[in-house]
Amino acid sequence: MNAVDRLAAACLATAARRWPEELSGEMLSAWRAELAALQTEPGRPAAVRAWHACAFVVSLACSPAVEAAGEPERTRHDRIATAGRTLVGLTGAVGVVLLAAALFDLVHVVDHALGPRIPFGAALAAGVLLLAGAATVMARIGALAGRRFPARRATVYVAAIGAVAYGFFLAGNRVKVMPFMGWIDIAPGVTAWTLLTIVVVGSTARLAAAGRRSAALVTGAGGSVVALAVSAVCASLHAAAQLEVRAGSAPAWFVLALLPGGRSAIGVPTTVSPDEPRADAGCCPGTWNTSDVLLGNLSAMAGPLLLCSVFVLALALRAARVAPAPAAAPVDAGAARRTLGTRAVAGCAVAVLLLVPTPAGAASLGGVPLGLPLRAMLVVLVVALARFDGSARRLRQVGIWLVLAAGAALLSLAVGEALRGEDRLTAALARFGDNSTVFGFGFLATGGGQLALAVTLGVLAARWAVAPDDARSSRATATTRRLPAG
Amino acid sequence: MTTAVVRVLAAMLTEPTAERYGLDLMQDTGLASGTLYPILVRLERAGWVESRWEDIDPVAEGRPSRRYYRLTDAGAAGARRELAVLRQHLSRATGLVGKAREA
Repeated sequence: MNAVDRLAAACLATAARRWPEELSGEMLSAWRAELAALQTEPGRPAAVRAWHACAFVVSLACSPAVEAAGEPERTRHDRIATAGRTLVGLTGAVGVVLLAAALFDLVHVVDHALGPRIPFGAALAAGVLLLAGAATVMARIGALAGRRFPARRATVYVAAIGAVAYGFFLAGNRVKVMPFMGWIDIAPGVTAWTLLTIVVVGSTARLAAAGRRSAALVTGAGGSVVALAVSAVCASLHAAAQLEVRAGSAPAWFVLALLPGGRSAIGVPTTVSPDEPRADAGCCPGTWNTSDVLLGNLSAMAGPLLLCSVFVLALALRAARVAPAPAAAPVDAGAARRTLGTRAVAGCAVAVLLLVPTPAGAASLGGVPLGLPLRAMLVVLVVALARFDGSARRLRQVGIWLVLAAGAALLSLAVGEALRGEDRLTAALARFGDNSTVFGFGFLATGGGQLALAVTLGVLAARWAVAPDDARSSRATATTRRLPAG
Repeated sequence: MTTAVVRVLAAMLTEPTAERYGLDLMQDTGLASGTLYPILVRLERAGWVESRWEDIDPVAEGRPSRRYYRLTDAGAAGARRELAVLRQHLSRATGLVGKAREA
């Protein structure tokens, strides 16, 4: 059997799996018979026969399968709607990557601020606590997403996050302060993480669905650490070779990248004169070890991927607890239109709120511009109002969202106030743009990047703007629909 | 009724009692395999087409049995009716276009 025959057999098997169970066996036999006829077509050159065979099997593998008996036929309109929902669903992956990077940057910034002032042990403990807090936030959001997400699609979510992360890491390094964050470093690292995490998440979901939660947790946690460690090695091999870092230390790179920097000596000592341009040197003037550059670069990728792993594991574990939903009830067309309208208005309002520039000389509190907290509060308010349907239950929810909005505004002000001394706010905002303190948001320095972020957040806001009417009851149903343990 | 379904029915109506296999219909209609087979299954569910396995000994013939498709009596009548209606619509539309051109 040559490569074309093997590809053809694999395509037919893939196509048959997508067809309804009662038809897949018969259709596979019928297709195999036609394929055999195509492969032995008399009077045609071998290349033409191979081409015809490929066209036959690829068309079957790529075309939509027939619906199961009794189900309505899927129209082109249905397929376009599904594609639209998939695109909107992709913004979820964008949101996950952005949140993971923002949370890890926050840990990074606090580590930088505290590191020189407190003993190493205390700095380490603070870093670990902050990272645990960030992981808890990601796990909570993952569990929330898992309530409405089919477990079998958790691996698709991993692939989407991998694709978004690749683009994010490349776009984030607009100002080249991370010398080893090119495609040659990012591609192997993100690819290894994506492929291994797909396997880990798939196994975790299957174990959890079978009621083996302990085994699922061990497989998920252990497998994710292995995936992250392998990804860290793949992302760093090029840099390690350039920086003469010992290859034997590779298994420790992932853990070392998460620890405060300047402590390891697995590379070679190097001295950089103060006259040397910083971006080219990749580190501060003075004597330092090349492993600091390696681990600094790696932490910018390993940290967000660690938090993404936590998210997808929480999603898979939560989604596996819910049995597949029964066939959807008929949808009231008027209600569906109103829902779509509310989502569109809320999403556009949020995007516009984020894009409107703060006018020069705008109001400030203690020197801190009020634009940022005001926008944060308005965004939360827009989403809260969109979710309000007049019921007492929703009124309580609006109250909670209002408290959240005020909290978001106060937090923004507090952060601004803390950074205010010695004009630190301006310096901190500038560092967000040029990546010298945090990594991954360099794309915000451009108008296109700001527009992309506003649109993404607008779509995410639109998805949250209308909660399903039976959110609470579906949660209760999900609990009763849990699959039996053992 | 989509254009692809019309093409399959028209191809089968050229010899309403003949049994056709998938590759044969693909060549007659110009449809890809991924389009043709779902249509055949839907027509079979609707009772317009029936199918059976080719009655051969695969070992002796050196190839697997093929699946044959044939229009049922109801399917042939229904297909003729639908194609006639379609032709009427087309001729009416063509007539309107012709009148518009003349005007």
